[in-house]
Amino acid sequence: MRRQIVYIARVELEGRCTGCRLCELICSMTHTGAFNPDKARIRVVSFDGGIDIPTTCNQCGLCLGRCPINLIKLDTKTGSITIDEDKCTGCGVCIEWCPIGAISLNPETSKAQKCDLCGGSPECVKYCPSKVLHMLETSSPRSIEFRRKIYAATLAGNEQLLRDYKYGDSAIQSLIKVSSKAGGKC
Amino acid sequence: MLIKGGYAGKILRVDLSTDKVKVEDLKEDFASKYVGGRGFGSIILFKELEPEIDPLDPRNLIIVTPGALTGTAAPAASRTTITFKSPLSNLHGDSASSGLFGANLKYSGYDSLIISGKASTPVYIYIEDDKVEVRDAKRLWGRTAGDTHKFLRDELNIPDLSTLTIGQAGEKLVRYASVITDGGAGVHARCGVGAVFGSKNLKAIAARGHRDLHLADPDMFRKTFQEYLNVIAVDPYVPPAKKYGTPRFIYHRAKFGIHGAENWQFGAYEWSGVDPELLRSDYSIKAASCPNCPIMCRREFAIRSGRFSGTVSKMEWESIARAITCGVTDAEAIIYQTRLANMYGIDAESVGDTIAFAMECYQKGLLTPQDTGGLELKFKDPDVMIELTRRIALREGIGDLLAEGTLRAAAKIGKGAERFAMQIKGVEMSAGDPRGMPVRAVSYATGTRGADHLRSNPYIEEIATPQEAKEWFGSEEASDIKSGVKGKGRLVKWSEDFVTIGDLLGLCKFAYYRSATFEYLRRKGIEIATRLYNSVTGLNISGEDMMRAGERVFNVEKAFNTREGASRKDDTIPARFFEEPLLGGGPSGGAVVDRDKFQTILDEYYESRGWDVSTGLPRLGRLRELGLEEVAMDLSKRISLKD
Repeated sequence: MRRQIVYIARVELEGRCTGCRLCELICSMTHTGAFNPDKARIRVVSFDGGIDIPTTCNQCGLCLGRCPINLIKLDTKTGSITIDEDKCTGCGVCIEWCPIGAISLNPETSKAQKCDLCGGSPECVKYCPSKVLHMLETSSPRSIEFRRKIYAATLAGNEQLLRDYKYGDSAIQSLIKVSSKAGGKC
Repeated sequence: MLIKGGYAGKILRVDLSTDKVKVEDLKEDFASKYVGGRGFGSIILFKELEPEIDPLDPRNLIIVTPGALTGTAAPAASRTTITFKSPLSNLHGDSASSGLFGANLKYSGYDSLIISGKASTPVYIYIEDDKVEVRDAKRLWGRTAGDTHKFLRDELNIPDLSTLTIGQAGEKLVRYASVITDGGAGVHARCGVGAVFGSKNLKAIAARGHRDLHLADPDMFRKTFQEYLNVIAVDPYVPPAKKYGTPRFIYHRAKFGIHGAENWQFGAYEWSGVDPELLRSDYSIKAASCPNCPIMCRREFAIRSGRFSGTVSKMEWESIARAITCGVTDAEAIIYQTRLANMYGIDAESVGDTIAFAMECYQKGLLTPQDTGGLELKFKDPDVMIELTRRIALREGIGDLLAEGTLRAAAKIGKGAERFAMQIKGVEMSAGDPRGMPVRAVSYATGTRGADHLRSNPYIEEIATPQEAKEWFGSEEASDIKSGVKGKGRLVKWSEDFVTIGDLLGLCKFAYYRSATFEYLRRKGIEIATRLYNSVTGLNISGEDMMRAGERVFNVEKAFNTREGASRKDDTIPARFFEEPLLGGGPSGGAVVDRDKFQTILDEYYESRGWDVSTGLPRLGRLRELGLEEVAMDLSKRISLKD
């Protein structure tokens, strides 16, 4: 079983992430019993001009085997890559390996935190008001087609966004600014 | 500890004269008595501000208080109230906005931020958990509100930084300057809060919190959240809100013919230029929303071509409505005007009304091209509206006079200009013309922060059945929109207490205090709201307790205004509404507000509030019944009030 949360924007006005950040608070509530975006395993990235993109772990597995004390495992039942948070020392090696910033340190405990798909049925997907968060799953864990589909779905959403924002300009410029900065300190 | 969640537990004080920072514990009985948001702000202002000071004096306070549910995942609960003495009314002033600032204040550990004194040079306040600093803002002075936000965010390199900023209008002490949340995500628009910031040399407050906000009962919270979703899933109010956002209110104004066009002369007006369908198809680029909101009634608008090409802005109904007050119905000009208002940090409502006032003065010959620097102030001219907004925000030429607000500008112009100043207690009109809906006249008049459609919810008359009206307000007449009198006073009182709950909890009035039926309205606004509060805090209070808290807070504000000298004579509406029949034909063409009926409803209102009917002042006994002994004691030392 392979599962992951993806953001898929739809064509209509109401079919994009609105940047309401309910997913962050639901996530921190589910995992810690309190509200604190710093403890959320899904984060919304907002760009000037009104583009909001929720980001979370895509369970790619690049961090598997990177934990020096071997606390990162594939949970075959839920299809998620999980960290044994109780034993985590907070060394931060996995954070450096993650290419998309999906692992962070809990600001209070200094232990690594990442999306565990809530044990197979993610709460953020349930609560998302604009229904742009989805959980996709496949029974063949190594399906290349599956990964391709997810990648394409994300790009399709982005393409829609870019097309719509063409005339708005300031939003797209802020995206370009961010991506050109990305090599630097951003 | 009785309270197990929802509150951060501390109150933060910053004195700008001395740069001193002080942290106090939030007392539990205080928290449960005044709940949060507007409740904390109103009582702190009453207790700590000495009477009769100038609102722009350093002694005025700025009290920033997130709602009790702000910072939690409760649906549409992100509102934060700023309380102060208003430079427009010289009375109680407060102004709320959505956005992430309140949440970050609470994640930093503070339920309220009280700012006093005045900095000698421009400063901003930085708050990150225990780190609270007053920092130099000289290089920010002169920047727009949106630019200030971006500058701070980029300079401090904190992408999630949340801010309250003022633009040039606040710096120049425009009496209706606003405070912008997160560079444009929300606006603390009303009552001139931006001018109070400016008078203290306070350019911005920036906050980023990292602490937990606790939650007492997650299961009950989830259940209540689901209940809220179930209610809005079947409420016919929601689909149009989702589809068009707030611009849909044009349908309501058109249905009753209450546009308030051309400085509140015309009720019916040509509005095809701002048709919600047109806005949706040609200008909306996406549905936006305030934090945690399942309704998503905000819209991001963009202009693709023409001279305003490239403009991107959020825009709400009242910006459109007040452009119509200037006779302008050109969608592109209004989107641009809204962006301008939010960049300069100026209340789109007051500025619209003030421009319309100037236009009428010009029309009637009270202002001449000599006064305006050659600008022809004609109704319907979008360029004049935009240019005047700029001049007012920067206090250039005629803008300097108009920046004082309609009441003060009219006094300076003289020659009977007062007649065209559409304001109540010095605060410019908002929402729809009361001549088509008489109960609104009373609700505007009794609002504790001047002319205001958000202080009460008199539109309940449109959704309550006659049976409900009888049960709740004592007379079937209360649901009769055009000619009902009996029960209307009680309706206004009830709805004032009702919407106050939203300001205490930080709930959005569209998400909780609007609905297509009275039953859904009560379920969302009282039952669900109270249960959310209980699940977060671990308290167990009833809906009646919550309504009583609303009433208590409303009485505190009334007491503040009483101490400042306001009385029944101030609870009135501009003479135009009584005397001049509504122009333009349409559903309310020719209507006026009947003076006798107005006074009768007002009598019933004071009576249901337990106040003195002849003077409109609160009774000490009633204040004590509401648990406001200290307030009653303070008042009785200064003024003689009936028991």
